[in-house]
Amino acid sequence: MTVLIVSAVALGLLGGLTVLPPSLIPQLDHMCGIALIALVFLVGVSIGRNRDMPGLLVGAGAEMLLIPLSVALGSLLGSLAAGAILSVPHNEALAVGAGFGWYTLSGVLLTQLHSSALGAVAFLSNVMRELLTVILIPVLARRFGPLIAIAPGGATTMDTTLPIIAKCTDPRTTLVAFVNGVVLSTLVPVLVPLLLRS
Amino acid sequence: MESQGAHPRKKVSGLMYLLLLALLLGMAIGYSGRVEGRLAIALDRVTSVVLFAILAIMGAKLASPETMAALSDIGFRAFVFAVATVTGSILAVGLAVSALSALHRQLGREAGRR
Repeated sequence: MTVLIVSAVALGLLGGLTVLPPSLIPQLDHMCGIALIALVFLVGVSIGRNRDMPGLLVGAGAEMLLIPLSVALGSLLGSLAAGAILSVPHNEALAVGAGFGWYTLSGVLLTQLHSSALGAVAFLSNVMRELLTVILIPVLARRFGPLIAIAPGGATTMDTTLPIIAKCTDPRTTLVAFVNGVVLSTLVPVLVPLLLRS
Repeated sequence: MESQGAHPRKKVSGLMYLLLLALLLGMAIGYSGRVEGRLAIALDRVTSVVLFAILAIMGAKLASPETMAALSDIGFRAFVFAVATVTGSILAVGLAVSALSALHRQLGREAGRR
């Protein structure tokens, strides 16, 4: 799985660097949005095919709250540490970490609220977070259990990284991952401005 | 500035509702029992194809001039942030999951004693 994932991303990158005209990239965003909605629908179908689906919904309550809270806390503490290493002010470091992998939104928000320099750091670090996530999910699921595989994804576990989680774990974990993504995505536009002012 | 700031927020909730709707609709259709046998296998294949297409698009978007310019400029800083946030999240979830399973064991033992 990891090899397939890395090859797909590398193939896209190679295509982008060589044959694809740069004007096509905004179009890619649109295609991506439509494909994502289709993908989440298909993940829904595979969860629904599980006969004990209602039981899954009820049984995963504690995880649905605990996992997003832990991911948020872990990300923010991690970004504080990164800020200390790079001597970035703590409020700026926290605002970058509060992107939770959602690079478009955190990049745009910080460009508007602070500077294009900080916006670029938020954008790129969250792009890298998403890349690390797609590589790490299969490894984490295999070695440390399904719930840990939700951790690196942050806000992306309700869309881009959800199908990978679905493939590497089970329907119950997939549902927890979706809720995790929804909770963290809701927090991004709230926490980024708030922490920047802290 | 304010009105621009409000724009991404609105877009966010729009996409979120669409995704939620897609997931619930999919779950309902899957649960109805109509997706079985060859159709289920075909849908599984479609899922894989769309997933790898999205990963390739993710790669192609990396090749945009803006990202490439940013990479040489602030690549190292961004990488430190990415590794630190991912590591922090993994450690925090690891702690939370082991705490939760310890709690489950404890509750199980107490229920057994009664």
